[in-house]
Amino acid sequence: MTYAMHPFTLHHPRSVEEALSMAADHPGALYLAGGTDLMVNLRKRLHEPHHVVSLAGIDELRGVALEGGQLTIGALTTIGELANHPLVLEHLPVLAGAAALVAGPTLRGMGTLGGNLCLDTRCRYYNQSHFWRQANDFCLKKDGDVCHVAPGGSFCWATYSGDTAPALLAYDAELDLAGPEGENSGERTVALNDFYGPDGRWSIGEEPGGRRPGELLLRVRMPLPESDPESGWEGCYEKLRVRDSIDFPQLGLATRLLRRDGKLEAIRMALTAVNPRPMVVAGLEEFSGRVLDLALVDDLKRKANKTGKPMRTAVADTAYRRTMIGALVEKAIERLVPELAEPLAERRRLD
Amino acid sequence: MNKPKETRKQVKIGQERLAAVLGHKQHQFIGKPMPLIDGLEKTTGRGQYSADLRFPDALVGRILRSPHAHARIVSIDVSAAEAMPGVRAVITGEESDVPFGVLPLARYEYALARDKVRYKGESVAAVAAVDAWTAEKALDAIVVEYDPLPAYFDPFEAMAEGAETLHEKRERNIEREVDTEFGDVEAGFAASDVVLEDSFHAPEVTHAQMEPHAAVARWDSFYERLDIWCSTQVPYYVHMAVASVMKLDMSQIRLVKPMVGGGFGCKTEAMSYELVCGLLARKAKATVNVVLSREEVFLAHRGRPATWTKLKMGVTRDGRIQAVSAEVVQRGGAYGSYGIVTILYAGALLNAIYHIPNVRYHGLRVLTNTPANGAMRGHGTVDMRFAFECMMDMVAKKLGMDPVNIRRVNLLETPSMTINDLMVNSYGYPECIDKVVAASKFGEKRGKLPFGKGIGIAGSHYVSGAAKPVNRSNMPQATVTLKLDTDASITVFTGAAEIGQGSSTMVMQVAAEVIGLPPSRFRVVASDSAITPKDNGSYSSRVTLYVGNAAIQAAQRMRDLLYQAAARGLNVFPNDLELVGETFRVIADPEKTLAFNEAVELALEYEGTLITKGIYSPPKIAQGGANYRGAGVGASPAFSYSAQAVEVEVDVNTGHVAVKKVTVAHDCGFALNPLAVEGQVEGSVWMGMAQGRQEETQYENGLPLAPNLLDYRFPTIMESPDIETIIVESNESGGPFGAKEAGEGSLSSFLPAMANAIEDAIGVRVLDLPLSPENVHAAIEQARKAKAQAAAQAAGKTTAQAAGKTTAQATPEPIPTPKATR
Repeated sequence: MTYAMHPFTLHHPRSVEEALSMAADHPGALYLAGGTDLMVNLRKRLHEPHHVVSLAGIDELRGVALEGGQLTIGALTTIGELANHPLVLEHLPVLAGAAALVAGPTLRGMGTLGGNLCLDTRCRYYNQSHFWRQANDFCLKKDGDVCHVAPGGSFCWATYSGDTAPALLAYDAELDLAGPEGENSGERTVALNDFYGPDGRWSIGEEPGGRRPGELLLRVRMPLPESDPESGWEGCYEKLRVRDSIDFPQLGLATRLLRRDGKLEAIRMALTAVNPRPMVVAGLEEFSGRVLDLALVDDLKRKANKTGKPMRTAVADTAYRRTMIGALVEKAIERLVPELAEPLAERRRLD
Repeated sequence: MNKPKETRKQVKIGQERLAAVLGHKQHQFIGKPMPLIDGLEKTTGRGQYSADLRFPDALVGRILRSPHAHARIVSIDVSAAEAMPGVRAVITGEESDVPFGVLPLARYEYALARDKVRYKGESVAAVAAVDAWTAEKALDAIVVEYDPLPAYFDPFEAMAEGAETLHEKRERNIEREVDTEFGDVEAGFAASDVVLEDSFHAPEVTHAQMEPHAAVARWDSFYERLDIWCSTQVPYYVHMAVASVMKLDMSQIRLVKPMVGGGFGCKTEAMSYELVCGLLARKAKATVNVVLSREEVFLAHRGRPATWTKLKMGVTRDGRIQAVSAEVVQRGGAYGSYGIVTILYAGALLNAIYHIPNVRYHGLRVLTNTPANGAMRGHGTVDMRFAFECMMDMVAKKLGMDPVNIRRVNLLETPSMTINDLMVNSYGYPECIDKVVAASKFGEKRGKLPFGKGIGIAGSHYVSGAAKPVNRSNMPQATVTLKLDTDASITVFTGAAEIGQGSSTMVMQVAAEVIGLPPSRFRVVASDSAITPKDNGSYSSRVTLYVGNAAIQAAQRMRDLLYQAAARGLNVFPNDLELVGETFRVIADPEKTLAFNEAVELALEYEGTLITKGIYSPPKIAQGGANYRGAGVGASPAFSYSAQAVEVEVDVNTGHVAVKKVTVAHDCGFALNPLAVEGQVEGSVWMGMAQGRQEETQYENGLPLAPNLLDYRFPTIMESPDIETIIVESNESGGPFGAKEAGEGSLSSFLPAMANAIEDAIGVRVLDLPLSPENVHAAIEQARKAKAQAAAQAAGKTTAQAAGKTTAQATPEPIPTPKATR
């Protein structure tokens, strides 16, 4: 049997307005979307809420639409819908690819885009039962004051591990948020890149982080010219994991690039599961105009390695995850620049 | 076309009839695929497992676990918990001072810790309350004062000089030291042309069975009796342990095993939660459910120990093994469990698959402050077989010999007794190798696939039942009874624990075959101490051979009674009869018939309900020699054999290894139910793949790092390869209809076959399990470095020495061989 949850009152709003007023009435209430992560965490006593607001009945937050030169995706759209939606497949293939690799089919049917973007950060010392954490003196993200990842530090290294955020970062997505009555009231729009805090302590309903207490994520918006299939941009999402299903990424890399005549015009990369927040790989602009060759691949690997800072937060070996950042860059380039696949494979041979 | 002119009828004896008369009747209900008789319940969700049992007013039991890896318990204050509304009982180690443990030699664990705790997660106190949240809050309210002691998570530290001992009389924390030599090993190495030695490491793994441990206990205060339902493989052993710990007579306890959702060895002994459940029920004078969380299942554990193996093999130029020497250290965890058996198995089963004229074994089972290790599918053999079959390939490579040939030249001559007194009778291993080599096209692929792709082969074997029960006793090891009543149905009563492996289907098939009646006439009642005869349980792959033989005897006796009754009715001798469908018929005069129902009526006349019984115990010769300590472990009435070819694709970029295809041949003697045999063999291969490719229980300060099925990465269907299963039937003369083991033997050949395939694919030998991306990648990097170094050396100096073999990682620290007094 699983462990018991803290008893709570479950609220069933039918609209965003109703949900926000319930959140305003009960500070500290948690929003429940697909519940695939939250329910597990409740049983680990990572949250002990008295009130939970189920978003299941808010139909206005579902669906994908193309309007006013923008593609919008409701926060309650399930990951499974994203992976198969014609508009997403056409305009945001990297997102569709990432969504298809989230967990397994049953979880994709429950989990939502909003939930994946707001996914609590993960750590080997945090995603454990109350007993486990107690027997390990707790940690600064929950109930304790030490960090077991970097003892002596006051920074939390817990890792954002969603697959969809890096894909959306590669598309320059924006988020619409609505706050409950009070200091965070009203709607606002933020760039996805500004949504996350640097410290792993950011968590659903808790500060510091991009999302303010009680705020509800409504939808994700993408400017269309960027995601126009005619634009010539190509992209892919590479995910490192032990099993080809279920697993959170040990590492994830979204890549989009534009090339012409053997040269790179532009490239964007974003990493997940290595830092407390999803990261845009910095400094790639300088490669515009470079010839697509092995030297460029190595330079891209160096940049990605500079951005990604895996710490001892996962069960997988940290040094291995660090090395794998470059390995995933190679994988992405092999896929997007097929003429480099053979030279790369040749270079890796041992015999 | 011609009408018969005769009035006298011609009786035609066809082949089939003749065979029937002569007793060579074609099998009717065995030897052909048959769905398991409880399959429908399981697949439709109708089946009742222990956690599904609902009793009105049942309380929820929860267990308080130690946050310390090693500490003295100074005091426990339960007063606040007891005072909480909804709490009905709180118990601590005070509740029972009787230690338990499956082996009489290692009985020093308590239902709830007394005086000391020895691992994080050990049961310290327990609460029965009206609901789960109340019970958990009551646990929070129990105040335990601990005095921490030094804790050891590493066996080498645990047995270092001056280490604090976990238990009394376990000097240097050594649970058991095994030191045996058969033949003259040094002479064997001296006579060898090639001697190789290397170190292998296998991490701890767990069973990850689907159904967590669960029990329901109902205490009747008026009669002072306990009914307990629990998810176990060994109802009889649990029955004894509950009685002993609760200081009850066994007659006061009724133990029932509902459906079990997998065991794989983790339920082969009484566990503390079952005892706690009984103790709570008595204290609360009520019914109590205890269902462990997945995390608690990891803490209850009893899985395969982390194992350090140093293996040395000497062979002559033609590949014949002259001597083998093995040193093993197993990290046993905090309590005995089956540990002594595990460390003995690892040595004993070096033998009985190849001819080894000289063999030495030194094994150490070390107690550490981690959850106890115990029996797990392929008990004791898996990590040793990994080392051994890898070593065979390494030796073959050195000799420039084909990996198949080195196995062929070392085959046993059978029937024979091995050098350590194991009886090997049927031996289908050569046929397993031949069939796997042919079906996998091994010869066409080995060494000829493109870089990154490879194929490897390995063999394995396993016992068909431990010949000696864990508690020495002269009782039959298996008993089956049959009941025939006025409803003209036959009920088979067996204590054999159906845990998903198909034991109930097997006994039904065997009884149906012997009597000649269709399965629709049978019911099987299994594992209820008030109803079914005692059986030692489902472990060591004993059930088919032991219980199958007992079922045959019971069924033959029932058959005799039925044939005698029918013969009386038809006024012939029993030998003149055959049972066709559900009709007795006189062979010489097929018009003379008697319906089965009528025969039953005649059979019950004057006698009433008919009950027959069959028993089985292995013959003495198969029970192991008595001339050395530990000789009883490894001995079995029969051994199964397996050969396996594994094909892989290695991504040298990430170290990921995809298992593309497995071809496996398993010698099960005779497949009573080929469908079940295939399922068991595939399950073994799959579980071998799980351990071989990815599973590992790591500890962080004594806590399992991944105590859940998300982070403990057992494979999904996505990683499952295409498995081609070939059944080899060597006809075991001591087995029921020639049958023997099918459920474990094919596990251990997977791991070395995969490592051998990786070597074939990229030329890198990985010595450390699992063959996970991390470990394979590390080995690749090591090989790259060695290659670069060799190249630099070759460029720098003219006489560069060969870089030597490519090993995965630095050889693990040398295994010390202390001369312990025990």
